[in-house]
Order: sequence, then C-alpha cells, then structure tokens
Amino acid sequence: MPLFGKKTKGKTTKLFFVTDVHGSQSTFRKFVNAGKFYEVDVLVLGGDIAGKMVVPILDLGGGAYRATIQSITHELDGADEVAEFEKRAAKLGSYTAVVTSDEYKELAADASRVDDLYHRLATERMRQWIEFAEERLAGTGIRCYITGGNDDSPDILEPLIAHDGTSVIDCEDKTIVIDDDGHVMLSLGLSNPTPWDTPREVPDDELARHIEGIVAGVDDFSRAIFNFHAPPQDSTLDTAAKLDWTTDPPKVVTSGGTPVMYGAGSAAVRAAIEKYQPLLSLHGHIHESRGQTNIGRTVAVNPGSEYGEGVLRGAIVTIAGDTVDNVQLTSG
Amino acid sequence: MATPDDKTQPQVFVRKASGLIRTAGTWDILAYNINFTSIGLLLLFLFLFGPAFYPGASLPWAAVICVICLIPLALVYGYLASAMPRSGGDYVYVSRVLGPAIGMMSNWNMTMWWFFYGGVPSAFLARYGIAPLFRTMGIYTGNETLTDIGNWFTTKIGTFVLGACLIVLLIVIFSIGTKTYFKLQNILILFAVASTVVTVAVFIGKVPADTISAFNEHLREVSGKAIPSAYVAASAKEAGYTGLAPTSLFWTLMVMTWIYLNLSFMSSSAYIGSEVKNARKLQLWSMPATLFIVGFGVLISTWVIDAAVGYDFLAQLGWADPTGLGLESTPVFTELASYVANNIWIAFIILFGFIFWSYAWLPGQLLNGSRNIFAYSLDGLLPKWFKQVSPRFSTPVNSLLTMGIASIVALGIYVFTDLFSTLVGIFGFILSFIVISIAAAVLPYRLKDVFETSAVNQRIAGVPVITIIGILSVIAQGFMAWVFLRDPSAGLNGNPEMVWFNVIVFLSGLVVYYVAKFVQRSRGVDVDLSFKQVPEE
Repeated sequence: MPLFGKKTKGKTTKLFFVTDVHGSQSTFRKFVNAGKFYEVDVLVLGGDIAGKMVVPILDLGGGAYRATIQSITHELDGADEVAEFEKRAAKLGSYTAVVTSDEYKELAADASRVDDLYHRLATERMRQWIEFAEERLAGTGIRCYITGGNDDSPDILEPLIAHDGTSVIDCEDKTIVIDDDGHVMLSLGLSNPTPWDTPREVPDDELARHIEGIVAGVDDFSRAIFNFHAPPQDSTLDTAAKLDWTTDPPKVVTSGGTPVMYGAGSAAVRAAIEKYQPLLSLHGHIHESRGQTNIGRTVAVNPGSEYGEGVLRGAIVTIAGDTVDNVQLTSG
Repeated sequence: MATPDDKTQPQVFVRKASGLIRTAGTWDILAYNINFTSIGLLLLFLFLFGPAFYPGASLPWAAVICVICLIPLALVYGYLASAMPRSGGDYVYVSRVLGPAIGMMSNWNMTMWWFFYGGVPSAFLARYGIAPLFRTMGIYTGNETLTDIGNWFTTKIGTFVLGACLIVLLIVIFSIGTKTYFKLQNILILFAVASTVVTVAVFIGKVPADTISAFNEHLREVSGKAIPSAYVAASAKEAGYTGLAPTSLFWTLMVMTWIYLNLSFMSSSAYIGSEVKNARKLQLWSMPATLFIVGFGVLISTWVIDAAVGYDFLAQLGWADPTGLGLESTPVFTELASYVANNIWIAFIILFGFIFWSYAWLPGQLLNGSRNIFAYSLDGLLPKWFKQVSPRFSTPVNSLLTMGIASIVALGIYVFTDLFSTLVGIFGFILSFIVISIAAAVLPYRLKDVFETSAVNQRIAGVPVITIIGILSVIAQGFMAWVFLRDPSAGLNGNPEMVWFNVIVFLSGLVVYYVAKFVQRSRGVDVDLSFKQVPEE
C-alpha cells in the first residue's frame, strides 16, 4: 500500500467542499474564487450560510456614528469610516444597519423587529452572493452546489431555491449527478437537535426518515456522495464541548477546568452511512471538529469552519470511479 | 435623532444560532493553564537543585525575572489565540503567517521534544512520586520492606519499569477515549493541590532547627546514624560544599532554567478550540494571569521554605551522599515536610498527593504529540497510517501508539544513559517559541485581513501592539536561550554536540516537509495548497 495514498489514475473529478460560512463575506468570496485557485471541477457549500448577528450602527447626527463589535465600541466619523466598519463586520459574518437612537431603542425592545431586520439583511446578502458567484464562475465550467444548513431558515434560502442560473445550483433534498462519471450527490441541510433550537433541526428519527426519502431513488452507492450538514455521531468529525442546555446562551460544561468533550453528531446520519456505504460523505455543523475518517468503505470529511476570522477552511477531494483518490484539507 | 452627546452604547443583536455559547468560565480557563505548569514539580526542582548547585542564587528574584521574561510569550500566545481563536495552536498560527514549511519546522521540533520528554516525567513518577511515599511510610512504620521498595523505585530498572507501565497505561486509556482520563484526573489534581497546600502549611512558622530536628528523628533508625544531619553536613563538606555563597546575579539568572521548565507551558488554553465569546479578554488575560499566580506561589514558597528549612541545609542535602542515610536518592522537600509534620496521615497526604504532580506533564505531552502527528498526516505531510482512527473508539490510535513507543524509547535513553539531562530539550522549545514570536510580530503585515478584522487590531503610535509584543518576546526568549546555553546543569554548556543536536532537531521538520512535498507532488498533490491564501477579490 502506498504510504501517502493512491496515485491518481484515469478520469477524475476534483471537488472543493466548504461549510458553515455563516454570513462571512470574505469567506464566501474566497469559496467562489477557490474554484479557479484550486483548479477544481465542482464547488460544494454544505450549509449554514446565514450570519448570526446584526450590528446596529448608531447615527448620532452630524456625521458621527457609534457601533460595537467584538465587545469594543467604535466611534465612527463620516461615511467612509462607516463603510470601512461595515466591510469589517461583513468579513466577520455580521449584518449591519444604520439606525437612529430611537430606532435602536425600538429594536432593542422588540425581538420581532430585530428578527424582521435580520431576515431582510440575510436574504439580501444571499441574493448578492448568488449574483457574485454567477458572475465569477461564468464561462469557467465550474458548478457551485449550495445547500442550506440547520441555521438557515427557509425564507433566507428562497433566493437560492428560486435561482435559475448556470453555475449556482440549489442541491438541497435533491439527487444530483455532478460529473459525467456517474457520481451522484445527495444533500440534506437538516441537523439533529441542538441547544439553540435552530430553524431547521429535527429529532434523529425524523432525520432518518428524511434520509430514507432522499436515498430512495439511488441504486448504486459506490459512486454516491452524501452531502449531509450534520456529521455522523461519534466519528471524530463531531467532537464538541458538552453544553448545558438549561442556560441561554448554553454554557460549556467543564470538569476541573477542562471542557467535557463528546460526539454531538447525528445517530441517523451515522446509521445511513453504515447502511449505504457511499463513496464519500461530506459534513459540517461542528466547526471545531475538522478531520477525515473512514466509516467502513466511506471516506467522511468535515473541513471545519473559521468563518469568524475570514479564514476559508475546506477540503479538496479527488474522486475517480468508485474510489476517493485524495482528500486535502485546506486553510485559505 | 440622536446627538453626538448621546451616551447609548449600541449592542449587537445576536440571533439564536448554533455555535454561540457562553464563555468557558474564567476560572476554568485559568485552572486549565495552571494544571499544565505543575507547580509541585517546579518547587521540587527548585529546592532540590537551586540552593545546592546555584551558589548565591536568589530564588525569589529568579522567579520574578523568569515571570518577566515569560510575559511577552504569554501575550504572544494570548494575542494569537485571540486573533485566530479556532485554529487550535501554534502549528496553524505559524503555518498561516510564515508559510507551511516554517510552520512544520517549528511544530515538528516541538513534537520531537514531546517525544524525548515523554521519558522524563514518566521517570519522575518513580523518583519523586512513588519512591518518597514508600520510603517515608517505611520510616514512619519501621517497615524496612516499604523503605526497600521505595529505594528500588529510584534504581534505573525500577524507574524504567514503572515509567514504561505508566506510558502504556495512559496510551491504553487515551486509545479508549479521553473522557475516563479527564474524569479521573480532575479528582487526582485535587490530591496534588492538597499536597502542596499541606506542605506549605506544615512549614509555616517552623525554623531550620525544627526541620533538622524532625529530620534527625525520622532518619536516625534507617540511617543508623545518631545525628543524621551531622552526617549530611560532613558528607556535603567532603563532596566540596563550602557553605552558602553571597548573592550572585549570574547564578540567580542560571537557576531560572528550572522555573522556566514548568512556567513556559502556561499557554495551554490556546489549544482549546471553540467559539468562545469575548475570546479577546479571556485568552489575553488568562495566560499572563497563570504566570502571575504560579509565580506568586513560587515566591511565597521560597520564603516559607527558606525560613523553615534554610537554604544551607537544602544545599548540604544536595551535596551529601544519600546512601549514608539509608536512602538511594536525595530526600526531596516533600519528604522533609512529611518529617516535620510528625504525623503519618499528614505525611501520607503530602506524599500521595505529590504522585499526581510528579508525572503531570506526561498526559498533555502524549496527547499534544499524538495530535500533532495526526495533524501532519491530515495535511499530507506524514503517511496516512498516522491519521487512522479506531473504528470502535473513534480515537487516533496509530498516532497515540507512535507517541507511546517513542516515549518508552526516550525513557530508556533518559534512565540508562547520560545523553539527555532534564533541561536539555527546553532549549529546543525556546527555538520554536522564538519562531512563534516572530509569527506574531509579522502577523499584521503577512495576514492583513485576519489582523484587521480581529479583536487584537490595536496600535501604539501606529505600530501594531502584537508586533511590539512579538519583538519583545523574541528578545526575552533569546535571553532565555542564552541562559540555557550557559547553565552548567542544562546539558548544553560545554557540550557542543548537544547544541548541534538541538539545532538538527529544529531543522529536521524542513526535511520532513520537503520530502513529503516531493512525494505528494509525484501523486499530483500540492501540499502548499493546504495553507495558501485564496484571494478574496
């Protein structure tokens, strides 16, 4: 057996898989540009596209503004500084809104208004990203498949679902042939329950039913790719700190100063991989559990996520026929 | 409309989304770092070797200067961990900032020294953990068998057998999963802390005459000497000890090596990867705070033990031949405390608890080393065999096995040969610390985006604070490298072969990197892509 893996022979498909970009402008733009940079045939974004926070920029009048990010309050002078701040916030995955003091107070007092604002900004960013990707990938022949994740509510995904372009393709709940070598990708954005009660999480038995629904039309799993947002349970791709679900936000459970770690993945996803043994299984969801493992014949990957630092974590995977030739984890 | 006088501090609106968690408690982060500095072992070395072999060294001043030298390094780790909180340690920091070849070189060097140091704390278990417990219990109960067992553990074969058993046990436990270990360790560390607290408490209010009297009383029978302390004084004089020397700056600096040995590992929390809110505040203060707390503990202990035992008697013990006392090795400060306690149960608490300080580095070393090996394999820099995970336990068994075998070999070399002194590899670690400090200094210029969007985007007179800290750390660690090169006990002074060995180990990562790159290129894989920055525009 070759020490570093098999030497690639014959016809291959090279895909670049990324997940959990969480609104980060910088990370998404890198993801799209990675197609040419890594010379891949296919780009796959495995869910959790939406950001997590809205940063209000307080308009103090007279060209003065104030905003807080990363626990530091910034005094901004003029439109240029505001634009620069917004750019920085977008890199981190945050949405921004310039508001008056009264508007800020109204938002702070009414969670439903914040929710509306968030959804409007997140949907708008989704729309911009699709346009950007179509423009960048035009004429390259690179296809970009995107699925939602448990954090992406249906309305935020609407621009993607409604999109009818040549390069950007919504792949959720679908079985899609990704190359002319018969490789099919089955995608699912749901996750097993989390402490955050996110928009698209379901109990494991329901997740199992969704999976059975997707795999129903596939006869040959030797060239199948599972693109399931939730990682398989106890696979090393799902190792996370145990959380106390009774606090808001949840609190890390520690013992003697050490975080207690456990497998937070989905039992249903694991059972499906063990049962169907696809060629490749792509996952995200647990940002800190970057890695690669084998479950039977299946090569399972979680590239992790560092969207908050504008770092693009990903995996370049080369497949040929019914084998995975190489997996290279990247940090760009 | 608001006005510029408006005092409203706008807060971000956070949506309920996965990954957002309450910060790990500040005390938890601190405890995590303090665990890895092992204050018990630090004190043991300081009192075992300081007064005897560093004539005129001021232990309190050594602790203070060492803490000062380590503050920039603590801040380097703190700032890097704040800038890249989820990257999980220096391998990624350096690879991103200075490129994958330098990242591999720096981290491979550390991994190699984790290999060598796998042997050192496993030997400490027998020498400073089990042996003092057994022989002191033997002395208290008059049971010679217990004393003999204790003495056997200080022999080379006893030390090797027990150390190898400990390594095998830990590798088996880690291969099954770390949960069991951490549960157990969290209880055991309480015994260790209790040991140190009781030791200091026993010494408080005592003077050297009390300690020497207790020493004589407890060792009279086993040594067969009417006044064992008189034997110690005579034996030390015969060996060349001439009494306490006047305070010396040079020896004060030299004795820092033993403090640095433990304190330099105060940055463990940088490796806790998770989405920590307020990472900036937490990571930034937890590492310097660890330094101050442990440094303060050392400072207090040096005063208490100087007052209760006296550096003169500690120095005499260091020079004297212990076999004349019926012991195979010099009694350590915990044994002295157990004599002073004059109570078998208190003695047991001190010496049983100290067992868990004695090997405290080993679990972290085995885990860190195996994680590094696993990461190199994941990045295609080592054969894929190293990244294989146990299907049953989901643990990286092959990298753990590699670490275990390497540690047992290192234990054998440490115990049966004179090739490696306890301190010799710390010089190697310092070389990596310097590279990490350089990475911090140039981060704002090499990874502009990461710096500008980070929480540590701070400047003084236009110069990034992280750059200033990085430069100060290079200077401070460079100074410590000089100290290690000069200290006669560090194994490098007058031993150019060992200096070269350190340099070769340091550079060996480059060889591994370029060999892997060549092999991977022949397969059509470009390993440089793993850390290459993808353009955003």
